[in-house]
Amino acid sequence: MRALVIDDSRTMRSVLGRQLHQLGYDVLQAGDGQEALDVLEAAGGDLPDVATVDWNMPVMDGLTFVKTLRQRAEWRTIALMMVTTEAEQGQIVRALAAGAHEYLIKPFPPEAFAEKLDLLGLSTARETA
Amino acid sequence: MALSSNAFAFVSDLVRRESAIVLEQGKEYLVESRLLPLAREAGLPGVNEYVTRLQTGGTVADKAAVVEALTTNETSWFRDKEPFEALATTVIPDLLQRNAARRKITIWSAACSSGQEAYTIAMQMAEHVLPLGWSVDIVATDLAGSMLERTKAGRYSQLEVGRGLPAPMLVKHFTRQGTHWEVNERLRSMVRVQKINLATPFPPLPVFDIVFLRNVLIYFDATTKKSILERVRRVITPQGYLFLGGAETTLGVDDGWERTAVGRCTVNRPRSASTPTVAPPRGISIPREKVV
Amino acid sequence: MSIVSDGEVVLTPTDLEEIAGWVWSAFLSEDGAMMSPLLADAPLDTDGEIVHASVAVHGAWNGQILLELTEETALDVSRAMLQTNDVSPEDVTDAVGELVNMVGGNVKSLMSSPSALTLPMVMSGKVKHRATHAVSEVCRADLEWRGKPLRVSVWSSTRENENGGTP
Repeated sequence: MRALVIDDSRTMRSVLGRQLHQLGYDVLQAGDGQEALDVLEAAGGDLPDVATVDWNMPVMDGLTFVKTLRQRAEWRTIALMMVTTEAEQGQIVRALAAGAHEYLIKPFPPEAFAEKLDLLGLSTARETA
Repeated sequence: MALSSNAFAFVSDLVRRESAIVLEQGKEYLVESRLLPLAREAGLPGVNEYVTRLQTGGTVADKAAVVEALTTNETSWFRDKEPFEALATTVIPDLLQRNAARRKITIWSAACSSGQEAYTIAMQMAEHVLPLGWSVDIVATDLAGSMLERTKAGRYSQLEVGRGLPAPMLVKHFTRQGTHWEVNERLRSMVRVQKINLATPFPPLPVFDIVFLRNVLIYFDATTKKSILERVRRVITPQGYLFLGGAETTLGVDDGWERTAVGRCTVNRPRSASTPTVAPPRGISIPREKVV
Repeated sequence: MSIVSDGEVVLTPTDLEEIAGWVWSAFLSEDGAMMSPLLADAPLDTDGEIVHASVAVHGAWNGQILLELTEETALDVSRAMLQTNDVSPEDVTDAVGELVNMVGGNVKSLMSSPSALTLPMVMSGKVKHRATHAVSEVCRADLEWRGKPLRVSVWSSTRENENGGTP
């Protein structure tokens, strides 16, 4: 299993990367939405199964990344989980409407992250290739 | 000052009696950090002093506050997933046919704790049953008054709603209030609470289509387990569905049940029989314990 | 102290303690050491060499959230978050910035919306955050972690908030 961690904080990339490793994922990283798109272009057919997406990032924020990603048919197999401090109900609604499949509010205990990853298998919005 | 062993023993005993959650040695830090705010609110310098006051003259409300402070954030929604998938794919469609005249589904969430199971069931009902104009009655029961209060309130912290609850369900069925989230009236109106000690004869109960009795039988001895399952059989419809916890089974415990696989889940249904059941011997109730 | 917005109490020190507690227990309690409210008479000496990390909020509510801790505590915090003793000054800046980002984000979500959060800013030295005619402290929590003091405070841009916030 492969994961892409998108967050402008090196610390958060390290924390999430560590948790994903422990769950058996190979981990790619990106510091903003544009960098993440570049990583995906470079990945070719070897796409990650899931991407964790921070909201507030320079260059391209998480919401824009989600919208951009969902416009590319070949990338629709990637499950998208927002991982962000944006905790308002309206923000969650916006992110889901933009195409995110799951949403995790920071901070969160490691168990919650693992449970959310598990839930992504249930998401009917996620199309399999 | 560090938590005294006397204070820790008192608190862990209280929590075990009221919620069946066991605080093992090593969780002293948890007790200290969770109770310090309560101590301060009471104008006391530390947790030891607070516990002393509890021991000498604590009210029911004080004790309930302690139990709540120590048991929040420990449970998740859609726990184990499979039973709730089974509800959606198999059980509800079956009941929609079977109960077509009544247009009602009645469910028991036994040992409901803080209510996540009851409201998870309610969410499945809101998705698949309520839109058809049917009514749903979910009876959530527990031994502890503090848990029933929590279930009735339907109010969960930001950390609690992050545990296994799909985000689309969160925004659809809950409303954020400050740092907490409350279940919507639509869900709340399906759930009612009642105090029940499973180890003793049940008070009058409706006849249930579905019973959730998950992860609580394991803490009783064999005789009591059998007694509970026999009494459950008397309050479930002949074609009713009983869900136990993932590691639990009726096999070898009470032969009044037939087991069927629904997806990756085992459901128990009353074995059709007309032999009268023998009244179970009156035993001492053994407190159920869940180790944290 | 608490913030009053439209006559309604919105944020209390207990809220700040709760939020900081979530952040610390989620990422920094590997050895069971939790964040707790500071009762002892040793709050952070903000006149010394202190690390100041802040995020700002702009929009329906305007203000800043500030996290202050000693350089030693900042080092400890970074080591705990990154799970290594080998941390560079940049690692410390980033880790402390992420902590205030998480605290600030949660504070923002309690205040009037919509508002946006800035990227964190981390400074160290003898910098002192002072009330001015434009900004004042409205809420504070003195906390301790592993016996070391730290302070979380919320500052409000009073004039902008009185005028109903920036569009």
